[in-house]
Amino acid sequence: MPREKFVTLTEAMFYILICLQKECCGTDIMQQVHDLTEGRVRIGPGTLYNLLDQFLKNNMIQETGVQGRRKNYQITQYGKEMLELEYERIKQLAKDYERSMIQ
Amino acid sequence: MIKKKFIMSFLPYDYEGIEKVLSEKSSQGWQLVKAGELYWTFVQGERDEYQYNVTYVPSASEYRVDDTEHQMVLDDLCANAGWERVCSYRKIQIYKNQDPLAVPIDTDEEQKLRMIHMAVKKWLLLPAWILILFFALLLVSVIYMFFKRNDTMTLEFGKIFLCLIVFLVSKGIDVLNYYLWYFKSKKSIATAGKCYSAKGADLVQSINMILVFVFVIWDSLFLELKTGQDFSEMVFLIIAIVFYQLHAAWIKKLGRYIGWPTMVNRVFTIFLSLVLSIYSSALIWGVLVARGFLPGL
Repeated sequence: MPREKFVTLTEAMFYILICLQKECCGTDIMQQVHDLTEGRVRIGPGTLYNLLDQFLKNNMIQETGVQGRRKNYQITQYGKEMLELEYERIKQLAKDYERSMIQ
Repeated sequence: MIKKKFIMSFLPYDYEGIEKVLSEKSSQGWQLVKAGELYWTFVQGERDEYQYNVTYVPSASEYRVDDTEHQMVLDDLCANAGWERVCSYRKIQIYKNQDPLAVPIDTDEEQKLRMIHMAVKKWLLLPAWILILFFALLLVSVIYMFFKRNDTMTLEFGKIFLCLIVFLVSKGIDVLNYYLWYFKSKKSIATAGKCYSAKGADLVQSINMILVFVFVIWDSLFLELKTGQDFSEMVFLIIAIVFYQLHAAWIKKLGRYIGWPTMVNRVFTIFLSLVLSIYSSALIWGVLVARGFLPGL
């Protein structure tokens, strides 16, 4: 079944939003995601650029500073709500899995 | 430094094919330096196993003087990940990296397909739909004139009708071919797969071009000669199409060099290429007629 846009988040979207809870720039996000997931999740620069652009258009993040071509971003309140929703969804998945293991 | 030019023919959405050819040439010692309208330029160097990645930038344009902000920011992000930009061609940007373990530029297939679709809509689909509309209107005019004149099917009408049908079907196949690939890719991605391979689409495109070519040869040599008609209109059309591509390539480049705004460059290139191609073809045709290679009017 196709994933509805931003109703559920991909891993890349999820981790980018986690990183943007603190203000940071695009070039730092790739390294932060790598460190946070111990190398499990890799985000390419093209994917990162496209997702940041979409997040901006959907008001999930905002630009907080510009230095030449280097832009800083931070998550918005709406972005935090989407992140929280995704976190609840993942928790529910884990609970359903644990319940099925007990049975 | 030895330079060599190769004619590269590929579908706009066949990024895998482009990457494969570039990697093969790199392992043979040929590194890409420039991608042009008519040919791509390679320089001979050491046999390096460069990894090439093709990414799509819908906002890029061959009529622009400078890079878009998207292109520049993407360059910075890619450089940070070890990817060096080789060149741009229309709406694609080509990067290379010596690290075989480098993170690919596009790691999300859904995003990748989205960017390809946005780029191909402007690159392939819009011109194709314009041509389909053009051929369809011509076809309707021909049919209307035929019925208005109350002629029985003359050979001339039949020939024009057949030509228009062939070109219309050929363009239709181009569009259908893309959408087939697009929807197959979408379906694959929906089940956590990757974009569909464009090998099949490439084969269909090759067959499409061969059939058009065979039709042109058959129409020019067989049908025309057998019925005693001259084939000069077909020769004129073929020469005009070739000249259009040649003129468009240098006018676009000149426009960028002078620094014309994108839209001015686009309009001027299309208009001037059309005029020059008709003029150049008429000149060549006149020479061929004068030398007896083609019958005159």
